[in-house]
Amino acid sequence: MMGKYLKRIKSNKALNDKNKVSNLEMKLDIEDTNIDTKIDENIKKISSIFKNSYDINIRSFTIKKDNKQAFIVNVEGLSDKTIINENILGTLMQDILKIPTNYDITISSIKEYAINVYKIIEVDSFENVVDGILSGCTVLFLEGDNTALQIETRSWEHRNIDTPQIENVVKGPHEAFTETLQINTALLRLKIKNPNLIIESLKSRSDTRTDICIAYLNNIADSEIVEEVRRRINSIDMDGIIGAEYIEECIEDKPLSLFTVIGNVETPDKLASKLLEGRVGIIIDGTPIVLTVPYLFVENFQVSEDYYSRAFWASQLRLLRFVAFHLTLYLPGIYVALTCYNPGVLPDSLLLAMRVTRERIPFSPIVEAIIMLIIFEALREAGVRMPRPAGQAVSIVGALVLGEVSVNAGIASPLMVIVVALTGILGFILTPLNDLIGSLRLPILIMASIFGLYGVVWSYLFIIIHLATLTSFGVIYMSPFMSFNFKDFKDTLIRVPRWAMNAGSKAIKGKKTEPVDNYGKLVPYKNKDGDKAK
Amino acid sequence: MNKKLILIVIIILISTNITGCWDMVDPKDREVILAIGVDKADNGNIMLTFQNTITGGLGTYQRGGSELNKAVSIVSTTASTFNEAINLYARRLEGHLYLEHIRYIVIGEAFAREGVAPLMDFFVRYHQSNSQCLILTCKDKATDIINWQGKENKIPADQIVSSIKMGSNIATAIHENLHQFILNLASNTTSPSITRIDLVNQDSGFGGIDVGNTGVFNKDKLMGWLNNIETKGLVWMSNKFNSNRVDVKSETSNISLTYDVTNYKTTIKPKVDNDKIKIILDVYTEGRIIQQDGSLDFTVSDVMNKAEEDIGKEIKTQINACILKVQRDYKTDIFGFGEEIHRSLPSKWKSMQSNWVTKEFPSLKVEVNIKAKITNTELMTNTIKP
Repeated sequence: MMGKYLKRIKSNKALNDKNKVSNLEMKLDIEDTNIDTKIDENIKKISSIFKNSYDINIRSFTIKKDNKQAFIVNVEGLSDKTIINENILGTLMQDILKIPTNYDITISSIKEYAINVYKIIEVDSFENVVDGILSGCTVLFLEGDNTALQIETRSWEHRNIDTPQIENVVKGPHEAFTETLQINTALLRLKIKNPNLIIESLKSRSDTRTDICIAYLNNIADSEIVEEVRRRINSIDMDGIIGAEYIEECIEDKPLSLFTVIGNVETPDKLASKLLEGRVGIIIDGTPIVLTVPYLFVENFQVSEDYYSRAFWASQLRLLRFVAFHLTLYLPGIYVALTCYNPGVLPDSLLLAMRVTRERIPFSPIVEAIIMLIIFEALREAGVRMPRPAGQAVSIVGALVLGEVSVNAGIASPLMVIVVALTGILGFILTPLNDLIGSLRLPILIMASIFGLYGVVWSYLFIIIHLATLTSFGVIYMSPFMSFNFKDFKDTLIRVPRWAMNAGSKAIKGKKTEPVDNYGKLVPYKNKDGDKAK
Repeated sequence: MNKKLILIVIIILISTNITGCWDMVDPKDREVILAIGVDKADNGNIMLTFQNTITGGLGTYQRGGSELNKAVSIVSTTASTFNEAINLYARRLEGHLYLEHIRYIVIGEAFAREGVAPLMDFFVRYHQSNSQCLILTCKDKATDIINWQGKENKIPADQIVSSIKMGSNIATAIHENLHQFILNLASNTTSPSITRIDLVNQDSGFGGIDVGNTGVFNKDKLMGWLNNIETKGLVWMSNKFNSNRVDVKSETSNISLTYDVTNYKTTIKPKVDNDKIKIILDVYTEGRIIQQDGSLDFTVSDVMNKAEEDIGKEIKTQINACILKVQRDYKTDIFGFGEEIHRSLPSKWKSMQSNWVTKEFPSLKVEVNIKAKITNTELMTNTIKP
């Protein structure tokens, strides 16, 4: 039965693959993609490609000097009207005398003498033409020429640079990435004024033809990791890329793992520091989140603010985050295990107090814990999704009705409310791990309610074993905890002052940081012994 | 892959036998027993008295509460074995009998004199035992102790345990839990000694408990008692208190003061003297004067030396009283002298071992050397003269 079903899925997939044309090359609805010398022919082709879309603007005109027919095509809203009006139409229709008289009006002479826009490319096929138009350029066709001019007029309404939404900082830079690729790359370039910063453009293989850039520091990043990133992004083949997570899910080492091995960065300063550690950034057009790889487990506990505050305080906060991670995952489980299976561990007075508070509760602690956890998650979800005006109602219902009244009504014990509230609050400390914590907490609770403390230990072991198997682009996810090189611990559980953090203190290392590294241990596919011999 | 999966499933299945839902108990269904009294009943039967908590009465946990709102219930059962007596009680209960949180076990005099070994065997073997629970004894019936209700705390077991802890902190009582008791019981030479708990002034309405006396055992049998002063001597030798106050009132030198020990060390050392073994007991203490009758001028060094001497004498009196009583009356090594000899003079020990308790210990010479130092006199040197 199951086998049959699987077979059907497989055959369907094969059928789809056969019908699918590779998205890398654009498929146009015309037979001949070369630019025709006849202007009417070109207009016809353009209209048949875009099928008279509302926002495609075609403007025909005549150049007075040779009485030549010409037309421009652009997408409404993606191009700068002033440039089109003044620098293109204005020159060609009025100031055309700029072209020396001994020259004919051709595409190359217009490019050479007439249009004063900083970036002009001569294109000769409709694939490039359409590409240019869709990205906001204006394309100029001229009677009698089989090339066209792609004139840079890209300009559209975009969100201003704002403060980060997920990871707030007090002392550090407050600017965050926006949805526009060009702004994001510019923000990054502002942080790293170094020719070694390479921002490479990769066209995605999807129907949306989203622009993807990878950024890395040529002299620090490991070339094999960069190559691997390139390979994985180029092999993405899907219908559309709308956000960073679309890419993230497709390039993970273990796609089914609960742990993500790809970092999300929201601010240019954080991205810059990641690149300086030898990581590769993946900047995707249309999303304010930049991906960084390789991503290590310990990065979940590193916050930008750590690097902008005193090392001692930052270290304390690091430790707090580690404790919070364990508590938020295990507290409900431990509570249930201790109350139901191993009360001998509890202090006498706590056990008696617990009995008192649980006297009127009809449910067992397990059911109670599950109910309260689900209620908490529901409240949180409502808090995030609700329309702003409804906020007050949700908070009143959440805080008063569910907290206070559920205790009075005898549905939950006060201790359980404390446990769930603490668990929830601590979960918010670790923003990068939020999804994971949400999905692991309940299984751990269930393990604890079936096996007691034994189950808690079991689930801990399961998680540790799974973590040990993870890699991020070839780098061991749990490094440096698995390498036991104390030099690598300088920015993990604690953060040592910046001057004490030498080149060897980061796990991702590249060419620049030898000879201190122990790279061979961390990256399985690269052997550094050869380099050390030098 | 399949092999791995099967292995994981097998491991999980096996682990369900080790632990699992079957021993899950909601805390409200646990009957938390706080104290057990053990008495001798007629016909060689055992009477156990249980102090159980009543959840309703715990509502306003700890202090206060009216008579109606009792926090504990007391029930006695009589049977021929411990297990039977416990089962008799468990059958009457609503929830599961839970013994892991027992605060203390009090053993009645009659039972203790017959031997506590069967009781200890039961509680060490029993899977729910709590090795940290205190072992106490009492004159007469243990039931009376369990039944006693203090004014200060709704849970009498709490009050008794905290006053014993306090007593052992300020060196007026010893603190022996099940674990230590078993260790002493299992030792070849040492015997246990445990706190005796007495109810005092019960008729006056200000009734309280007194934990200043000690019951001395010979192996598992109770031999007799040590009074307050002898108990203090025993505590000095145990090396286990936090603070200790010595009241000195010397008729000969007219000294009357209170000495507060801040730092101390007691060492027990066996020594061979003329082919006879002698125990050297060195006590070194540092402390401060916290009270005097007003006649002493501590700026004069003679006065200071005299005071130190008298403090030493007082401590010596306490220790000697204890050793004398135990050697003469009870003939049981509760101080661990035998182990000390075994450790430092193993060759001598071999010949003594066989008749240690009967002959060697009672005639053992103990030399007590006290060195008491006054490090300061608190905030004043001289007293205020009216």
